[in-house]
Amino acid sequence: MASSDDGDIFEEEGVEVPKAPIKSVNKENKDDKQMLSQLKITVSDPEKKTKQSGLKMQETFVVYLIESSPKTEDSTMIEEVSSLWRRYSEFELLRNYLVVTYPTVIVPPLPEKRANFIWTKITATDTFDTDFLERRRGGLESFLHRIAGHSKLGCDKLVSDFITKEEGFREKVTATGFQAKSDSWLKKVNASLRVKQPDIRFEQLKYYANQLHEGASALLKVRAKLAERVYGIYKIHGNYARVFKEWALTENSDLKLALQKASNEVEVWANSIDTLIDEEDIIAEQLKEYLYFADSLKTVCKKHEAQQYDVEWYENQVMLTMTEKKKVLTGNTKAFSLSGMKARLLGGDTAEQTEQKLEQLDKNIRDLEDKFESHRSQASDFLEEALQEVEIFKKRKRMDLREIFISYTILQIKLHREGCAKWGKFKSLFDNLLKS
Amino acid sequence: MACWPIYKAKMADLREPPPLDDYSENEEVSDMLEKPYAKEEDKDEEKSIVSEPVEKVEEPKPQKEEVATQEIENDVSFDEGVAGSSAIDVVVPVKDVPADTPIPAPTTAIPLDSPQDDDAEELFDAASSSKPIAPISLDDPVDTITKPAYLRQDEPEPEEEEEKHDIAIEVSDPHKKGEGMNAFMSYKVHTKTSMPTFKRPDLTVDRRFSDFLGLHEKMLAKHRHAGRVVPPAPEKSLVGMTLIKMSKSDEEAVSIDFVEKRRAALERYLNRIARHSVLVQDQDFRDFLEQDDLPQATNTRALSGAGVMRLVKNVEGAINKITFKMTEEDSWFEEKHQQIESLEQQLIKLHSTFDTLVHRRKELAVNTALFAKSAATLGNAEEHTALSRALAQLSDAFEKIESVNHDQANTDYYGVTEALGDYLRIISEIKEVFMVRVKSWHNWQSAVQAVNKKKEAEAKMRAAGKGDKVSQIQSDLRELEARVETSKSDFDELSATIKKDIQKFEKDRIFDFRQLVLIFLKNLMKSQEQCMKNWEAFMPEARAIA
Repeated sequence: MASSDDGDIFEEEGVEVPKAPIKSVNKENKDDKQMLSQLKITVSDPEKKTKQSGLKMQETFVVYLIESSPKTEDSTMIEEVSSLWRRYSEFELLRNYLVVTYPTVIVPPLPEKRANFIWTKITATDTFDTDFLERRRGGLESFLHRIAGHSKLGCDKLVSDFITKEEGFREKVTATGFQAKSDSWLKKVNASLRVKQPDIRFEQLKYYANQLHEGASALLKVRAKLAERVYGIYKIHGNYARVFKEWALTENSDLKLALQKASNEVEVWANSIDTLIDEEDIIAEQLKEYLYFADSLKTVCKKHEAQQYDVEWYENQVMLTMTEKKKVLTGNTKAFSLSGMKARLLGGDTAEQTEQKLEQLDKNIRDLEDKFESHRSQASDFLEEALQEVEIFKKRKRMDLREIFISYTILQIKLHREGCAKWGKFKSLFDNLLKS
Repeated sequence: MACWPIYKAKMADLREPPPLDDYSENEEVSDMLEKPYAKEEDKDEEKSIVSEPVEKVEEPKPQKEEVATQEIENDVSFDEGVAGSSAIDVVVPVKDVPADTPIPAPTTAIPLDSPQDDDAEELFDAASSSKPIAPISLDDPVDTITKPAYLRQDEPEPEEEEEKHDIAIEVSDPHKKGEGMNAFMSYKVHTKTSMPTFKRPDLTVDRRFSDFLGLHEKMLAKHRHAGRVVPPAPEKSLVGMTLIKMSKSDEEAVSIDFVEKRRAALERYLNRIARHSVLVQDQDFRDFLEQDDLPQATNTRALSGAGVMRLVKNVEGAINKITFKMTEEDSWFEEKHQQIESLEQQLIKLHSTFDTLVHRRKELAVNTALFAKSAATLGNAEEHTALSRALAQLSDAFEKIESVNHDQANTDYYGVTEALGDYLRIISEIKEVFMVRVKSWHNWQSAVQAVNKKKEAEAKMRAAGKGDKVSQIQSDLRELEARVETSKSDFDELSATIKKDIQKFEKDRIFDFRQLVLIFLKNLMKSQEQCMKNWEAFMPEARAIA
């Protein structure tokens, strides 16, 4: 998936994947605005580059080559092949922008900044390690594909700029002022804690996102341990193959020949684990993507909560103001309230003053009600869109996971089959040992 | 010469020919047969068998002597196989396994060949009454393996040539007896044999571990100095015994890994002794298998007087190894010594590799179980039914794989590691026997030196003209020279016995190793196949998602 050449991430080898969701989207954008159907996008060639950053310091970072070429003849998106270099932080910028600008969308996640769930074969901490870079490259490509395949995200001008115009991306993005639009973290936390009636579906979604996150990370951790053990076992077999070889030197019988041959066989088998584990690692990467998707899900939930909180707040305000108005109307009869005291001491409000107050309050109420209305409709729109997005996400998730599981199973079967073949050969060597 | 009487007595005793140990595949046997008996065309006639032995008997006598005691029965060697092959050849058509006893080594005269016809005929009669041999295919030694590897290979042997040496021993049913610090495990030893030297064909006794050790001590004392390689006994284990003493009930005690390990080791031990033609005749061994009650073997306790004596002897042995040097005249021994040294090295490495392998497999099993759990949790979180079902199935598949792995680990362990350990112990026993030979050589040399000294003294006396002293010295001299003669012949005899035993060992070990490997591989293949099937079963589930 990570290195699939055709931009369609849903294509598997020889498997019919229902393309329904995408197709319907395509039909809507009859103008072929669907980026993915038009372009073939690839991310490749991670290279190190150094640059003078401020303070006279050299900064070393890795850039990736993004190439896009039109797939069909009459593509309106871009005219020609374009290729440019981007670094990881630019991807991050793009993503942050998208998250703010399209709050209902579950934005695809980026590959990790640091390597997690690694087992000892791979050097974990070095962000310049080739394996790590390779995995990141795959993740970035997948990221771009997902974006391009999304009905809304794919149409965004900045996204197409991202892949076509090298210069000026940062400026454009900051110009949108998206950072100002994004809710402050404090506000989000406040909202999450204080919201009283979040939509039940979002509650469920949040719960699910948490489960997914926990489950996937546990699974990945164990997989890493498993991989380590399996690798160890294969290598031990290699050890005794070597002992066989040494031993054969001192033997001078049929055993010698059998030992030598057996040693070769087992060593080959022991080395085969390297490629197999690499393949397993790639599959694990794909699972990681879903781990991070869980985070995106949570973000959407949080936004909903923020909105809901606003709605509730306004509702609350409206109610408060109305109560106040009632109070003014009915006069301050309560003896121990502040206004009551004031009235006693300074004399009650004149009719004019009351009028003024009432007018003010009415105006406030109207304002607040307007705001409440707008927020409420905003929230419900958000809700609907978000739920649609969630549906799309779910469908895609199922298909992706299916692919993941199938490849994993195929890999395991291959592993075991090779093992069986090898042992068979080994066994026949010894079967023949005493017959010869 | 001295061995003749024993030889004959044994001949008389044996009703059945010594069992063809191991490699008793008929083809091999017949192949082997071809060589020495190439001339003999008609092997179908029983007579021919008898006559052959007789003829051969005429030939090298001294060789026979050497071969005599050893070659008789269960030589696992192809040699015997060859001899036996003649028997087998005949047997197949005639259904008689004659040459049991007379299974002569191809290189040497036929053992059983009591050169005397009576004996041969006796044997012959015995042969005719013997049961037919069923050719045993050794290709599938693993089939219904419930017992450890080593024992399995013993089973084909008795069946192959029952006449030869029919004895199969089983150690089972470990029970905790006694309480607290005096607790111990008791094992049932069940012997099935058709050898006439035993009281009954079916014997069952209860024995505890110290009894086994006592037997071992006695065997060592009697046979090691004669140059025979006595199979090593399983080791004491403080940790294991403490666990048992601390365990609260019988079931708990029995379920400890250590008990199973020990039980298997004891079984292998007894069967190894039974395989050895001379040792199986040993009175102590017989008592061990027959007597209901044995005197308690107190000298095997770690803290006893005998234990201290053992320590002292060990130290002495160690010092001897360093100080005794021997001029090796027989290159065969030189070569063998080297070979055995290097073999030991390899086996040690192999042993430790397999130990690690077992360890890793156990860890793998644990992790697989964890994975299964995680997959199940993830499956619970998913609301879409196909996906969650798939995840649940994945979890199941993993669980199955985990148990497969666990079993594999056990087989690795019991089948391979233990057997390798056994061989390492045998090798150290062989080294001990070598040391015995060195000591014997030293005896001889010191006797020679004594003679030389006496001769010098004699010459001096003569020169000094003290006639009476001279005659005294001369008689001394004659004594000493006689001693030299005996010690030399002892040494030669010893060397010959050792040679035989080691040749047997050589053949044994190749066969054993092959068995080991085959069993290991069979199990490995089985578990891989099972894993593969599990995955293939999971595949449709995976495809069914979405």
